[in-house]
Amino acid sequence: MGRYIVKRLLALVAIIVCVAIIIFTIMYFIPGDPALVSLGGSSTLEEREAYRDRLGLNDPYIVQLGNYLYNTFIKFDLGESYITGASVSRGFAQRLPRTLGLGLLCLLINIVLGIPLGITCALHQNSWIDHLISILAMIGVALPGFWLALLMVQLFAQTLGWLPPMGITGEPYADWQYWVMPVLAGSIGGIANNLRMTRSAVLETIRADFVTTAKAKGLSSFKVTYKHMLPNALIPILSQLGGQFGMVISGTVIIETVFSFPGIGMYMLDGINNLDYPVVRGCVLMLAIFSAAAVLLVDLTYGLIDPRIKAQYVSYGKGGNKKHA
Amino acid sequence: MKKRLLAILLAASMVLSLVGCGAESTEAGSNASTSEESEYAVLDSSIALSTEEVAELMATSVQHDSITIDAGKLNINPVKLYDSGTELYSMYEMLFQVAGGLGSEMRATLADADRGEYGGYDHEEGSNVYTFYICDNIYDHDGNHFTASDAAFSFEMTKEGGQVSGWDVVESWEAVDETTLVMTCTRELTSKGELENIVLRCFMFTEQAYNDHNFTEEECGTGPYALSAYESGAYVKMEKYDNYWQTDTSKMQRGQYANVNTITVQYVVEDAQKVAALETGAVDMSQSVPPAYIETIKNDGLTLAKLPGNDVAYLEANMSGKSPLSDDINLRLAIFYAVSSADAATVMGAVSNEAVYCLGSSVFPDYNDEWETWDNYQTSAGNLALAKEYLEKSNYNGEELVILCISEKCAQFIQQVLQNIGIDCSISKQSSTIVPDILSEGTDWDLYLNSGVRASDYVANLWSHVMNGSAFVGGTTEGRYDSEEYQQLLQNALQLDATQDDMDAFWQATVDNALVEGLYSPITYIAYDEEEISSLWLNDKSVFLPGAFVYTK
Repeated sequence: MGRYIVKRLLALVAIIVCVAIIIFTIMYFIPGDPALVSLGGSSTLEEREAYRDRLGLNDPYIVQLGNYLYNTFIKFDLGESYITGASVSRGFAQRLPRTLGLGLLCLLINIVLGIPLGITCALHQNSWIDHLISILAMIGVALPGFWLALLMVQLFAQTLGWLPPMGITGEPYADWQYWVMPVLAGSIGGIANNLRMTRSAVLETIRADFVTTAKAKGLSSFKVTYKHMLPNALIPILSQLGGQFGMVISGTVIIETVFSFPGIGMYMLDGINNLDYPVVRGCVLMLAIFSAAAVLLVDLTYGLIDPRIKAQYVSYGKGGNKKHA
Repeated sequence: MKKRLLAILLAASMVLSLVGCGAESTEAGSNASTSEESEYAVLDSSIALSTEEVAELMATSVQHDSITIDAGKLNINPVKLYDSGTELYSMYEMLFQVAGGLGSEMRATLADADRGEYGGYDHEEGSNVYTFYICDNIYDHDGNHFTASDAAFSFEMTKEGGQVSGWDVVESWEAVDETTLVMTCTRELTSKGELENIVLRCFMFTEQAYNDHNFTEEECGTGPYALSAYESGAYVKMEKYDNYWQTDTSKMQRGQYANVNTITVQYVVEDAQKVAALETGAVDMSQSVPPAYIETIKNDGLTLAKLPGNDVAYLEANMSGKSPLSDDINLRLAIFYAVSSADAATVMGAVSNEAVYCLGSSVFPDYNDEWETWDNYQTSAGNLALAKEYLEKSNYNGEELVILCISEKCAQFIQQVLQNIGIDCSISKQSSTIVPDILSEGTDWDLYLNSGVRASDYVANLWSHVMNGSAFVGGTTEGRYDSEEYQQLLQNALQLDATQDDMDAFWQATVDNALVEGLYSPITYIAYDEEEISSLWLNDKSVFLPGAFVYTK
């Protein structure tokens, strides 16, 4: 298993370097002039040329790419924002806890509410509970998150005055109220998806022979459900959760924008709008690292849950089964 | 049956959500005529008061506790001017600041008003040297003494920051002694706003502070406010600085006052969030109320003030030679006569946009109201009969013309109008970052609709943004009109000593060649509580300085 993990980590490094090259190339060929954005329309052609020279934007592609890869992977320097001059690494580090907190809280609520509700629906299939929760889930899937967010602001902030409408205060423990609506708005869709996936996965398992055997042995319904059915139903659920986990950082852009929540999403959005190449490249690279690490973590979790998959990993680690996906 | 019911409910919820997404917010009163002027407060910030008058006015203000305003950008780095707003202008100072509105005179702030022929600086006509005199009692928030060498350092660091334009004309800044700074240029600064573009675009700080602090996260200015809290991308909080160096009210400009103890600048992006923030009290004042929510804000009991619009939306013809418009003045005239700026303003929302009859508006000091009485396409009110006449005279063969735009709404109106007179059009909506490349290429557009070009001082500079050959490829205008004579007319209009004839000549040449049509000027509304604030103040960059407000509570 250790060898498998090492191989995957080496592959991760290669993936990250490829992502860096791809994002650099995409940004290189995107039309638009950062000099015009920074200096404004009143600047002369010579001033913009001098600005581009200063930033190395007139250098050949391969030179710029080489400098970028060297700075990123050897010096661990993501550069400075063209607009504010602030370090991109620092900007990312300041915003990461907020976005990570928001994403992880959403994921936690997705799991805590989505999975038990899905199990409940499956166990009470075709009852009024099942229908009611399913309808709510479908509505949750259909509603756009940003629209829901705006409705929540109108209701809880403007009408009822229970919660602040936006932003943060910067004091993590004091400003919990600022997190309530963003977390709720970011969770609804995930809860609905997890609920439906869990219901479907459990329904597939519920008719299996081993479940009938377990019931026949006189086991309590709790043990039948959570000790026998759920582990087998978890594989597809885990796939869904893995995807959601990978989206913890990148999936909050819209929520952050609606609530003026100063996270990675808004940072990257501002960078895109201002053609702030270092910010965009840095954010995309960090997101890629996080997503790849999340996928690796989920894959390893499969091994913990299913011994058959763990055996495949071990075999792959020893250079055996090359068909491991 | 149950499945059918579930399917219907699912479809209904999806349709409901799509309707909610796609519903375009209508501007309150968009089809009504412009509201009565008395409904909106009048800003007095364009009136240039003497320091004595300022002191008298400021004495009427109570010391307010705190104010929170919204902002679409946050930046505390004084060498990066791109996002400079209330926070930078409150914590840092410049050598001068404007006395009143656009194009008004410079008044000494860190410069010593008692020295120099021009109240803080000397300049001999014909010379390329400008001598600035600095007050000798300036200290920053670390207690460092600010001298002329620090001023020179500030200019050099700001230039190195790379977000200034028009500074290449400066050869050097040199401190002669502790209070005298000499700026040597390659030539005399003879264009409108050229000197202001340097001295009013540089925040001052000491070299010691620059070395001791990381200005992207910390602050050390000389201004009446000091940074107390900063969350990147979230908010900036400033407190009144009790040891502010300037205590002589006979010399204080309005922007140097601190009539409120705490200023918080809150980053808000979404329009709905701005309104929510106002209604819930999360912010006390909005610098830009979304037009669709004007009535809502008024109903909440807040006061709305109109901010003079110094930006103009315009329609421009492709003169590159790669468009049917380039060599066909009749076609251009047909288009410009068909499009009425009054109708364009109404389409965009009469409450939030004002029709213009020139490439500019009367908010600029060098604007001539008489241009609005000249008989040309600019002043006509959508003369379709005349437009059709010119179309018949033109060489138009029914080819499709492309309207390049960033925002589609006005482009759709123009498309309809032109199709009504028989000109086939399509719309090419592009990102603002791509448009300059498309314009310079010249092949994929025939008309360019710019939603707003802005200048902070003179209408001649606004013209320069659109027409100055030094800013565009090939030395042409933005629309690729290549004429040395036209460029010379622009240079004449840009001179400090430009006469009315110079200004008239340029505008006449512009309409004679049917190069561009000014359409409308967006109006910005500010929302605040009149019971707390009796007088607002903003500088030439339309940046609000809450410390300079007059508070009644």
